[in-house]
Amino acid sequence: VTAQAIAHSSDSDVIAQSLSHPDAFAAIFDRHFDAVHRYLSRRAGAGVADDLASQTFILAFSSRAAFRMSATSARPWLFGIATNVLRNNRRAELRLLRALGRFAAGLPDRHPDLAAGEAGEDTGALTAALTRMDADQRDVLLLHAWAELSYEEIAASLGIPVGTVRSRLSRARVRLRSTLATARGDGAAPHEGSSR
Amino acid sequence: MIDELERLRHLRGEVQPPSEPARRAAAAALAAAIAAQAPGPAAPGPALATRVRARRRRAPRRRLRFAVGVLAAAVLAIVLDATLQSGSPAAPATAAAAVLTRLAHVAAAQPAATAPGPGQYLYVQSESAYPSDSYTAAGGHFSVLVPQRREIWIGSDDSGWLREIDGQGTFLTPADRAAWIAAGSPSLAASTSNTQFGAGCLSLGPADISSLPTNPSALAADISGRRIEGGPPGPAEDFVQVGDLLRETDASPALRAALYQVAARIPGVIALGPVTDHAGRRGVGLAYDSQGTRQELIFDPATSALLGERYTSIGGAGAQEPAGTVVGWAVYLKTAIVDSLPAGRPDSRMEPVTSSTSSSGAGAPLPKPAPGSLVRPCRAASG
Repeated sequence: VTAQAIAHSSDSDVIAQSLSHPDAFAAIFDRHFDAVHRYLSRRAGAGVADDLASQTFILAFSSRAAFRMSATSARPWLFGIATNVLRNNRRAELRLLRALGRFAAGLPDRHPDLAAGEAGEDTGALTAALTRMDADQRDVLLLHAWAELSYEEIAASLGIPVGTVRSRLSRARVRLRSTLATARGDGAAPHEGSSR
Repeated sequence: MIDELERLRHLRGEVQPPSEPARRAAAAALAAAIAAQAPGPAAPGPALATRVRARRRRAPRRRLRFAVGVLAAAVLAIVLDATLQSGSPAAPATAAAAVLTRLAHVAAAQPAATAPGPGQYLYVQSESAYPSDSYTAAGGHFSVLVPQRREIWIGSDDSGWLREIDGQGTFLTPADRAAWIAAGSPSLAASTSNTQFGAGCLSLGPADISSLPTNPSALAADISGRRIEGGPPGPAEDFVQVGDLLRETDASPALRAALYQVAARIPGVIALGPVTDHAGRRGVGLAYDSQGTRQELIFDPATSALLGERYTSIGGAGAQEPAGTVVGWAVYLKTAIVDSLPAGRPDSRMEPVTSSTSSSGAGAPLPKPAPGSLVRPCRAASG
């Protein structure tokens, strides 16, 4: 298999190829590592993401025979694996969310991932809502909002029906919206799009 | 109007790309895993073997369940009264199957409603209450059940209008009230939204309800997720989907009849008998317990319509509130086909980003996105 041939093939072709020529799988890493790392970094922090992203690709490689060949892009599949890896490291995610919440409230926290730019006007409410919602809802919500997967892609990546994606997402949004509304009522955030 | 997703997209939006050492380390770890594989043709891994086995196992089981369902429909109506009166712990799915089979018959006898044509809208008026969480500066938090009045207009081209008016919340538990007082009793402000959606932007329900099969077996196959290989669909998700297909949709009588027959075959569904919804209407309740919460669907036995739903904590591992706490409810008060959107200006608008696929005109339905394609992009329009 020449590098040239791989460069022009779809993910599913590359993965099919990698069943007999494992080396070919390196192209999947090259194409998607940064996106997977970014997603994990947003959810669990940059330091943890290095390790989790690495785990994700090793797991993906060892389970590549289970890749659904009808899917052209490996992205939803990889994000699904990344989400499962994250599930075993919930503590890192919750620690980051708590740190963000404390930071937004003006409290000290020594989490390495806090940057000066992190505390937007809604950070407190958003992290509160994310912390409180079911892990399943949070997965669907963040695969949609941060990984930019479609409902169908999320369904495929988590192995759940599209309807479940929709209802989890809608419940998560209700929770998010009402938390934001309450925060706004507290005077924590300015009014916007008022009904005047 | 709060665009919660847009705000969420900005949260941690500025994370740095992986450092070069981290990237190299991950590439090396993967290379080691690749090298560890025996050269030559790879054996089909355990994952593939599992997948093939699972697929072979699933199909007969579904047929078996169908056979049981048919049998149940024939005998269970007779058995039902006796088991309920005897007070014995009757097989709950059995009682539920009888209730659902009866609902299916009622649905099938309903006059066929017309779906909204071009320029028409499905209008649904509802009231609900779902939890809203607040975090206090001191690190505490409290949950409030926020009531909401909601009106939605859904066009056949997924354009429409959404109005939501929140009311004064009530505390989920006494502990929430105490946390609120400890935080200095901050005001619990209500919010409203009044949003207009351009074609393709109001994507709430399952992709295309009019294209779903009204044959119960075919519908069961759709619902149990046969499009999604490798994922165990599971009865909890099946029950959730029943609700999804009824909530703010114009499911035809034929589709509802099929859906109730499918629901009759979901194992673990609990018949609650006569229940009252949050609007005080009498109905028949069916429930599924999952992850510490009971999800209850309440139907009108006379029309088979979904009257409302209720979510109650049942305690246990997954529950965040004491058992018996109502953690959410909704009632669907009015459903109609209407010829126009509400008068007046919206507070905000959502518009499709590109219109290259909709050059055929405003009233033409947009093509549904193919599975695997990205969800149609819509953005908040200014003005």
